[in-house]
Amino acid sequence: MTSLMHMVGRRKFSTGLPSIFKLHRMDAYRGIQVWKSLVQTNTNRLITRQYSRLDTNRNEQQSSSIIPEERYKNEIAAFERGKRRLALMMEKDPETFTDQDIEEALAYLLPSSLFAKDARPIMKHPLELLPKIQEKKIDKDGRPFAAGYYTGFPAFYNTIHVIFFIRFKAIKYCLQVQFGNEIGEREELLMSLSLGKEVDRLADEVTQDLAPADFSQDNTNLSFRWLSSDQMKDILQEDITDRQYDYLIARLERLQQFPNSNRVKDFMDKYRKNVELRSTKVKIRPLSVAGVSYNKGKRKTAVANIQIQEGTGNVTINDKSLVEYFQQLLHREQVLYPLLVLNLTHAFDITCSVRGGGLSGQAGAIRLGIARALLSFNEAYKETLDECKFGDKFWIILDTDELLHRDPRIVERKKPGQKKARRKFAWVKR
Amino acid sequence: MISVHILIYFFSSISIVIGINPLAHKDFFDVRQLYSIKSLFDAGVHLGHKTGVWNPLMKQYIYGDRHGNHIIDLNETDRHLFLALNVTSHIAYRKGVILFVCCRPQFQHLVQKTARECQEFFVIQRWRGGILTNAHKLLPVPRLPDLIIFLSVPYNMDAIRESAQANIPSIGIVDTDCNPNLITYPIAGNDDSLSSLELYCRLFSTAILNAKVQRQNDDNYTIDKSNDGETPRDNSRAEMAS
Repeated sequence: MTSLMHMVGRRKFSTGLPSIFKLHRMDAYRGIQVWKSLVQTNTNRLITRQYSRLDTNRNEQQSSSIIPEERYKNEIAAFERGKRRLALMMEKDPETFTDQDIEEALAYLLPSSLFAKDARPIMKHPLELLPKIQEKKIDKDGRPFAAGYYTGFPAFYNTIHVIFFIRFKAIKYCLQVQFGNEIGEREELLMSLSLGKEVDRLADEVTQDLAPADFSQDNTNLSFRWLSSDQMKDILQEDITDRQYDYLIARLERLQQFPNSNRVKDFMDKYRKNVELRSTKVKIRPLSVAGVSYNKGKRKTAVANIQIQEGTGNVTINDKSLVEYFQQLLHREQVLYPLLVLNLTHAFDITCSVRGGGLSGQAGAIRLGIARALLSFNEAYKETLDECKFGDKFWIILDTDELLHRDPRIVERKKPGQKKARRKFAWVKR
Repeated sequence: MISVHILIYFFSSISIVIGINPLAHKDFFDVRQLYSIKSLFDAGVHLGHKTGVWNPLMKQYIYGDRHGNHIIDLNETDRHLFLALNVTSHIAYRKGVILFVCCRPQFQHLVQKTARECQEFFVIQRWRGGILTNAHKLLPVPRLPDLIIFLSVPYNMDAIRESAQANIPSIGIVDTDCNPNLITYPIAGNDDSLSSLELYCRLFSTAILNAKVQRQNDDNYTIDKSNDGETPRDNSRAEMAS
């Protein structure tokens, strides 16, 4: 600090500076005195270290002040005084003296030739600078509060335990129904541990009979996704490992598969977020007056314009029949797939013009267009088309997940120095 | 009586309050009542491993072998279990921190549940190396446990080594294939079956809870006494001691 003072002195009084320095030397000096305690070189770490050492003592001494403003009362007051003095030194209004001004003032008054920015003098609000006050971890007898204190992840284990207990209670309930008598918790625990899958199965059967209404809540249009690892870390406020995250998700999933898991919906909702199905976003174009649905579908670079009307199953593509246009069975299957799924192969006449792309792209584009156009006739097709999962038979269609989803994959660009996107030129070392 | 009381004065401050020194008593918390050799036998505590995998250090605890399996001497188990439960109770009585360690997946819920039941602490799934020897770095507040109970010794050798280094008393269930050397209070017994694990958990949690209740009563008694000196109290324990 003394070296800093020298620096200030040398610079301040030898060169041309605001008149205030010459007029009120003592004032300037006092000002520096006041915020001396807060301005330090290479301080962030130093201060943190000092205070964290103090912190243990402080915890014991003033246990009541968990609020940072109260805890750091003196430091904040000192900062305000110093700021005010600094403002006066710089001939500015103390009321409107901002953090930016403080920085400029410091850079001016205490010019540092040090390269590292964090090594230069700083003056910031104590709440930014001083260590955050953490919740107390141990009680007055010196015993930690959390049962999982020595695992390092108490919140994680709390969650695991809650999940375990929910399943445990459910199983207990099932067994009581099954055997018709009261079962002690300990026996129950033993049974649940030793029977494992058998109990699960039993519980499934029993609860299914009991309350079928609980299965279908009104979330038909909603699907959900578990929180990501980072979000989970935020919630638990613990830096859980990937393995622990996987474990937690596995537990949650198992709980969810459990019958009547909707009863603990509130608990589960903390760890998942709802995602809308794609089908809810699909815009349905109204039928024309003549009862024709016009729609567009795309895949790769192919674009298909579709007209559909009720009819007998004629498919015309670019003025050719389906069989003429697509030689391969695969492509024909693709085109007709939405109709096959809905069992409506002979109910509609389809006319379409398709351009761009190759054959498979065109087939895919037509498929998407037809799927979309069918919605104009009946909205109820939506669920079937959206949730349609493909079996082994239509293996090629596995490429895209849902019929109402535009396949976003396009050709990867060619790279310079390579023959194609990934293909390298042939070469021999020498 | 006067001389007894003077002696007791030197032992501990609690002793003045309750009239006896818990440590001078052989079985202050009645842990003998918690189990019998029959109950150990019923839980299958005597069943050891195949003779081929034995650890010769366990020789003194082994009764013999039958059909190629070692059988553990339940008299030995009884003696050691009593010691261990007694120590656990005393530590719980003095508000010590007791840590249950069991990193076998099949018992993790059981152990966690036990630890939570008696408001103590647990480590399941994974022992973080250095939690005892490097506590000031790994724990928010470096408060070490006062007693560690190892329920799956072969899975936690590193933890046992650490507790020995940190000079923390340890209790361990040692099967015939375990090394009992580093454990302060080894208990020879089966550590693989659910029934025996369940028995140990029940015994330890009951012992801890009993000791805590005892402590609570004694504390209340102190408070009553400080309020008015003539509160009647059940002195059965004091009589037992004298």
